Amino acid sequence: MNQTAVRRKRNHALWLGPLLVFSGAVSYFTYFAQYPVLRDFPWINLPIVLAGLGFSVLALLRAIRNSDTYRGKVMGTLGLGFSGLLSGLFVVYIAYLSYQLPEPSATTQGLTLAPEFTLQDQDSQSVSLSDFNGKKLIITFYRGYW
Amino acid sequence: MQSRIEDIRNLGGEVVAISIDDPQQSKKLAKKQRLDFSLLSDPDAKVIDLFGLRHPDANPMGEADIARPATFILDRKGQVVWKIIPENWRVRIRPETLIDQLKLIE
Repeated sequence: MNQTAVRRKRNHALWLGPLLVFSGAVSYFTYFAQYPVLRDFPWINLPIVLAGLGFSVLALLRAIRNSDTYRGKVMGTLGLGFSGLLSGLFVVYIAYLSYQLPEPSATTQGLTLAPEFTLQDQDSQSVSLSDFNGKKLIITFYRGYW
Repeated sequence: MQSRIEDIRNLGGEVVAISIDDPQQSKKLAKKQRLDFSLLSDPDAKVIDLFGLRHPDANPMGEADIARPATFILDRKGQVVWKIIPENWRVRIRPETLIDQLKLIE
């Protein structure tokens, strides 16, 4: 590497790291989760987040080891703190939190005949299970948006 | 599921989705994702309990308990012929799987 060029080189990894971690984590929920394959396992988002974390580590290492060449000890520390925290939360959500569901209950396991019910639909119209007599019916329960 | 709703209906099937969301919230969701099947509102988790799917203390807002995700297929007589109870709330059932199951029903 050319010494004179290196001397004033900017430490781009300082901002690139946190930016990648942030966009990688957020875009999972706002965009990529709509594609089943990318939702089930974050094939795109996890690499982006981990790359961001890597850049943040690199940025701080550069700033500490080559402080003559690279600026950014303070920003590097803050950046790595941000990247570390957010990527940690993302991995915990993917690998742990989203598995925190109760065991399937005996009621669910033993269900043979679907119980009759009447509920309101999105247009506030009453809908009963018996309305679907003679049809094959898919009933899906979802967590909702409250 | 919306993406394959025509295939589901052509097989004599229909879809309903149940959550604790109120009808207004469901309407927003239906509009946003352009869903044309019923989103049913079970705010007190009564039907969720009938199916044994209450997930206590999962709601960070701390109010009502929500449903754990699960999908059932009923035959024309209302018998549960197939079900899936995922262990991870991120993982969603593929419509293709449901369609394959619908084809197995008379």
